[in-house]
Amino acid sequence: MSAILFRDVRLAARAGGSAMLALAFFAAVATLVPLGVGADLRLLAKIAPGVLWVAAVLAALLALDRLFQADFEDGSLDVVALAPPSLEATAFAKIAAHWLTTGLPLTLLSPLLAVMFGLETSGALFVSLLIGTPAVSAIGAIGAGLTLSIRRGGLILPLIVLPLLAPAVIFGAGAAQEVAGALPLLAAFSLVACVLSPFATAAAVRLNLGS
Amino acid sequence: MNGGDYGFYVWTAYGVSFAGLAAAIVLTVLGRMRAAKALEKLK
Amino acid sequence: MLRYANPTRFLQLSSALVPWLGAASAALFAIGLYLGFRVPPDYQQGETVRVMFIHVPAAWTAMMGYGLMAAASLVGLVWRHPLADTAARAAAPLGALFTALGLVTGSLWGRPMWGAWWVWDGRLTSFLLLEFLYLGYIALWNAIEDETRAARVCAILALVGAVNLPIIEFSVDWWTTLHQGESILRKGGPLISSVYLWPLFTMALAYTFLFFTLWLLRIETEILRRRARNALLAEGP
Repeated sequence: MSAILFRDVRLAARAGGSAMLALAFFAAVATLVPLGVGADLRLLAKIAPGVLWVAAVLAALLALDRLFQADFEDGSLDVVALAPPSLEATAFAKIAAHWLTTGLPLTLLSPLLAVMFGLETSGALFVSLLIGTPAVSAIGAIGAGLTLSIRRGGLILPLIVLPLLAPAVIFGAGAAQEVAGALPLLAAFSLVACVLSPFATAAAVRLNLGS
Repeated sequence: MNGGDYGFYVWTAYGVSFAGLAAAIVLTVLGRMRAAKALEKLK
Repeated sequence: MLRYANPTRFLQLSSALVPWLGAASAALFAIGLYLGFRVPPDYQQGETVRVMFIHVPAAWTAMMGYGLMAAASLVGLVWRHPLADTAARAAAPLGALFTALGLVTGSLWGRPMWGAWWVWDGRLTSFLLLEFLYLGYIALWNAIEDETRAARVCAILALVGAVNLPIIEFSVDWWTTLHQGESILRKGGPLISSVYLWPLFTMALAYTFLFFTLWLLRIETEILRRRARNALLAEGP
């Protein structure tokens, strides 16, 4: 399990890996927003929590369709499905690796973008992303498992994952704006998603392996 | 009823709803008949 | 219950039921429409109160459709029964249609009431998300060629959606400020005037019966199609 985790993190973290791509995407989307709505810092500061949350979710989805793809194509998933560390544990390791290489870097970059959006304090945004992005990885992994055997599954994946992520965006952006009660709800959603997702993901992967 | 000031919204809502339901009924019944016919032909 | 899981038995039962369900639905529609246009306009909402008689039933049926789809998916996953797979698949387009009708009528109801075609009201927003769930389910099903695999994979999606739907509803309610409130099922009796309850419940029953009629017909269609395909395969190319 930890072997899978380390290998996936190493693969994603090399130059040009999916971690870099997700960060660049996040920054690029965040750059386009002021170009679209104007440079009024007061307006930008007002919409920043929501915009940065949506951008973070989209950036995290970017690399999701590759989550199981390489292992599926070279047949190593078939081996994993039979071997002792169960598919559930593998799914959990994959989710953790995905979060470590997308959610965590996005969170670390967010204070910089918050400054560019004129947010005075970015602590709440930082904490909300730190707590909320694991839910994005967890629910996204279910989508990756479901679309595993589809050619160009990456096109369907956002359609099935984004509506499921509505609570994460609502509570996440709420917590980033320091709305009372949002942070506990976000934490609860994230926790439940991370606990239940490995089972749903493993079931989906198993079906697509045809075993 | 003449609908008063809001007749347009009421009539449009009923029109759209019944058009949608009618389309669903027609498509479903046609599909059912077509499937029965195709099976009949094979036998 | 399991006796009817046999496709032939199901066809017999369904063919016997469909005419009655359809006739009952038509009769209820006639009564509901008559009642709906006979009641006086609401003192606050005016004539637009009549949109409620088609908006609320469409919304109820759309939610019921997701419930039925998720239940059929669960049965299909646990007992691996093809009829349950078929039932789940047949419910999805109907649910998507009723959700769309709920959205359109909600928008037409909201325009005179709120002064805008679309308000990010709690109910409208969760129904928009419900529509996306339905569309994602249909898209996923269409993308997987192997029918059995498609059924199982989509069943997982339907169940994940079913677990998530209450959370989505809750989060949207939490977020919204313009929410109207569930005025029918509220504790301490309904808030809407009782003259409107009869047409509303009659139309709700009419919509429900129509949903079941169409659902059964679509399941029958799928069974017949499967038989035709199997007959073709048996004949050989």
